[in-house]
Amino acid sequence: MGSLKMTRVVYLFLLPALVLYVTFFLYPFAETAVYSFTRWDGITKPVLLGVGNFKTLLADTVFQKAVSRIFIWAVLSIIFKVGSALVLAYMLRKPMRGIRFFRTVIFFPYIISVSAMCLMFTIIYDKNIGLVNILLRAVGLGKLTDYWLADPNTAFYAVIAVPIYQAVGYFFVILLAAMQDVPQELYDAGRIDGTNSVTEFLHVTVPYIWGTLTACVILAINGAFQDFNYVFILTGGGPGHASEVPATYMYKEIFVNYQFGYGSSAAVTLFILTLAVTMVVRKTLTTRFRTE
Amino acid sequence: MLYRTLRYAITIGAIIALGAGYAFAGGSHESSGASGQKVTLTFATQNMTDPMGVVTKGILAEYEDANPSVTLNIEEAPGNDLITLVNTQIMAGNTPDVFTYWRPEAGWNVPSYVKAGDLANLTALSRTPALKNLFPTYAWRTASEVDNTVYAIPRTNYFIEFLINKDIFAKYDIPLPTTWNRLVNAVQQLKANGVIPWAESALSNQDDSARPLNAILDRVFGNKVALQYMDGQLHWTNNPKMQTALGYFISIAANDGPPDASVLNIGQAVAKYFDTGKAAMVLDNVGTVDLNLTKAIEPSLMVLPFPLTPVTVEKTPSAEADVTNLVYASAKSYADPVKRKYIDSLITALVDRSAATKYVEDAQQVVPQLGLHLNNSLIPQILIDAEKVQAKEPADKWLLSYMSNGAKSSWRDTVDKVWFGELTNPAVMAGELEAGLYGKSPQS
Repeated sequence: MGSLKMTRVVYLFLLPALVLYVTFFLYPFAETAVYSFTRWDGITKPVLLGVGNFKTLLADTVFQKAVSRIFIWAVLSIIFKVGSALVLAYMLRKPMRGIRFFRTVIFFPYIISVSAMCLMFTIIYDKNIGLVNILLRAVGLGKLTDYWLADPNTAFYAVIAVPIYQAVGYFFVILLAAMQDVPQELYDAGRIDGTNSVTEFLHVTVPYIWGTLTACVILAINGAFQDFNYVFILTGGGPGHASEVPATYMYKEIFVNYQFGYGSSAAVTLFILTLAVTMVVRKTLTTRFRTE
Repeated sequence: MLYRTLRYAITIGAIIALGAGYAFAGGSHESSGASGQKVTLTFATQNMTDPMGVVTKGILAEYEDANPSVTLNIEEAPGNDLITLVNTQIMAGNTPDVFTYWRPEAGWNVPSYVKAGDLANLTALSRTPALKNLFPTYAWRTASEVDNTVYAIPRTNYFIEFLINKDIFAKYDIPLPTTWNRLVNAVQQLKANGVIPWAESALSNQDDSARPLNAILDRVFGNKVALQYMDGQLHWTNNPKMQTALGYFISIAANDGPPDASVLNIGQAVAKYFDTGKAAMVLDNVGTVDLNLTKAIEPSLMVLPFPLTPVTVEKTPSAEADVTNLVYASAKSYADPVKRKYIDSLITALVDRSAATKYVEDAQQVVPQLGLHLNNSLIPQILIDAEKVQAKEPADKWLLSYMSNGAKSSWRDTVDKVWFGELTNPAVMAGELEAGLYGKSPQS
């Protein structure tokens, strides 16, 4: 196998991508980090505050609850997004009648735009004409009908159900591709050793696709930690702050309250949190199985 | 050797092409006019799909026809998103040449724009024959709130109207809420009969849910003192009169709005509940409420003054009213003598009597312009009635006018809690409001 020699030509070819990376990621990130130590309204000169913004942020109960929500979201994403996609991919990996139809149906929600999906679910969750409440009434559970997005107890879960539902197709495609790379000989050998479909799944398929599964888990966690669109469109973080997440909190502080310094401190804190959790999860999961 | 040279040349050529493409894409296309040259003006405003937007589009089209050397680049943003659009552009040093915006108050960040030198001084324009006597004193006072300098020209007004569905009151034999006790009684009786008392919005970070509280505070303390409370100059806790005022609000608002108020804006709340007869009262901005009333519901409606509270400093019920929409210009563009000429004429076209007449007759807006000859047959009777009631009411300044933005969010959250039924104790409410004004904002 050859090795890449870092000659001048290689650096020159890397230069455009590096310029874009520095311009659109590193530089804005460094600026955000600097502003997080200031009080700034976006127009007049920033005033240095030291760690004042971070002290206020960490004592803010709204931000604390927002952070706890994204952890809940991450766990539910792993279970339902990745878990459902894994099971569906396993069920649909082998040719069977109607397989193209099923694969298309599972992937289809992913190609709908976020705004359109949120609009659909606003109607689905409506108390009077919404599908959820109609179904509940149809099966005799009319007492459970609710204003799903307006009830502080259910708003957050109603919101995160939408991205979880929509992203199953995305992870399904990734995991299906990974499963189709599993050599048939492993399954044949397993069958000789007396595996059934469950043990085959647990002891052959999952270990083989473990790398891809780890990547999916990390993507699911990142999505939960950083998602903004669904919460902003469906509830705006309300009612009150019942569905607030750090991303919407940050948006409001910067674009509604003109507190760019404070909002930047929320951004930096969210970045550090996401990085820490991702590193821990990656370290834990990648040592679980090693495949050659 | 040749191959290596060729590789270098292609690589460097690609980098140069990328850089040149970036430079061209990022460059400004705006032409600054010398005499006879085309001039492009950017105009930023709220959404142009509602009746006001349609009228504005018409005015802009007429302006372009009358000024063939001017091209207008129109930028729209829905509702309060215009604040984000304008703020972001000003931060980028790219202030729109002309834009419509709210009052020059701290709540809209305008003093910061003035301090940074981003807004044009329109004092000279305000003294031109076309505009000099067009507006009443209060409108010019609002327009020159920053440094007593005119940085904006008034365009439209707003006031808070109290609308009731009199047919619902008649159906359940409930006396009309012309006094405070009748209002409290009406809320209870409406609920007992399965009618939602208020078509209200408790959408996060909007003004609507606080309208009744603002009206109550104006009555109990008077507008000047109420503004001092809201500005954090006076304390809310250990204040029996304040607890009385908050108690009034809780008695008419706690759990008395639509169950999904937290996800509806006021237009949606009016359309879903008020127009359908499911809610009996609304207290909100006439410009937003009336646009969402159906023809079918109008005969059932009646405008009343919001009643005086038992403890009050007022003799006559007041109502929040002010200039709401003004036209601003970019200082940088205004410094260009050719552009300035067109900016002046565009602003004049947007605020003169002809425009104001269209705003009233075609878009059912309320305007400050004087000397209009209106065709009343084009104006909904409910708006005419509302203006008659409002003409008798002393005008109150919006209580959040001078509040810092961090405190504003906290204030609105606390008020919304009352609508959700989560906050029913006046003393606790006073504590939360005071904490929001004095303690929690990182800017304080």
